[in-house]
Amino acid sequence: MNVETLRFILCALLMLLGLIFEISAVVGVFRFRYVLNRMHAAAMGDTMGIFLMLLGLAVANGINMLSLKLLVLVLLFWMASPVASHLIGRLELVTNEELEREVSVWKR
Amino acid sequence: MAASDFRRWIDEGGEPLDARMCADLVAPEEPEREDPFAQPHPREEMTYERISRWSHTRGERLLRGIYCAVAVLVCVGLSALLIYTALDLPQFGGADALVDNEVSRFYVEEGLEHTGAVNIISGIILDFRGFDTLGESHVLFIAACTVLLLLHLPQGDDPDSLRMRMAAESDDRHFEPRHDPILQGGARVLVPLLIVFGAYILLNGHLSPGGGFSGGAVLGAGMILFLCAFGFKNAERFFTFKTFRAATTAALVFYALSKGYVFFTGANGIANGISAGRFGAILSGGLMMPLNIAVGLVVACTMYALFTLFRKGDL
Repeated sequence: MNVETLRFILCALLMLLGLIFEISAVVGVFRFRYVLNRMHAAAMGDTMGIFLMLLGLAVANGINMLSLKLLVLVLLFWMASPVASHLIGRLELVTNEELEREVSVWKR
Repeated sequence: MAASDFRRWIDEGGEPLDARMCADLVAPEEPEREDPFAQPHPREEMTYERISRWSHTRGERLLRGIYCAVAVLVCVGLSALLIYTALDLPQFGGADALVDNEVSRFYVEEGLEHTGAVNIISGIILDFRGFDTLGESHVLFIAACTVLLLLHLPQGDDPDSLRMRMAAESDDRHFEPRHDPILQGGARVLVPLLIVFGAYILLNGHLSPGGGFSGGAVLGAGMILFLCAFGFKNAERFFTFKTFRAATTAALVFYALSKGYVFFTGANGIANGISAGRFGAILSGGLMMPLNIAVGLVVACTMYALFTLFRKGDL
């Protein structure tokens, strides 16, 4: 078994794992009924799913500039996606008047 | 009204349209209607109940099944049609592909000489097809102007406009994040990257993939993120209504002047003194870079203006 085969297997494993994360994220977004639960599911796809997919691509590509760009892309996603999720959650907190029915709220 | 009635109204007062005069104004009596809520006949009631039960249980299931089947059929049919069409296309780069088309060969071979852009797409969009792009930028401008007309809150000092502005302000304070540390932390990293990347796309539109529309969209996204994170006070330091007016007007006038006359001279532009495009040299490529910047300014300003107008009703 040479290096190329090993690399291909590693890449395929990573991308399959990422695909599983993405599929569970999509299923969660459509099966959950409350926005915070849905956000929880979607965040999984945004972080782990995309990370594993791009890591698989980088492994397939080898060590060069393009792989570095892919990893920078992962960093960008990890910067932007939690901020967007935070804003959605904040808007839900502000606008939902019956929040106690959905989650336990700690008042400060 | 008879004269005597008028006389009496003046002398005695009272209601001029007394009952005698406006007899024809009284609404005609409504005919007796059947009470819609009356208890139906027992047999009818049973039928209703059966239909209602059917439509809530078996009918709903049936309808749902038909809907699913039709949806799946449409999806599969459309995908099959698309795949069939895609298979029918000549192979990418194959021998029988349409590379030998006269028009595409002209664009590939003469595009650099005619437009000065190394990036052929940019050359086609901004020069060969310049009329279309000029119209597109004006569409954006008109959209921004229309939203400005419809959503711009009155800026006067009278109580009505003050109240409207206060309401918009309180909505804004309630729903939008204000001094949100997470958003500000994200924006501190992302905004410079977005602005620099947008400027890069704008300035290299004639040399590499990119151009006015994509670069302007990235720039506008960066400005909107800055506004969300740091508030109107800080955003007004670099973008006000005056900036919007000056930037869009200057960009559109420049574009119209530099490309508008070409439509009447049969695409024979006057020489602009900028050399044809070379890879790596930003200051080359004829008029492409200034035109890209103009389009990008219009796109960025329009995005930002639409966002602020929808959010607060003011720029």
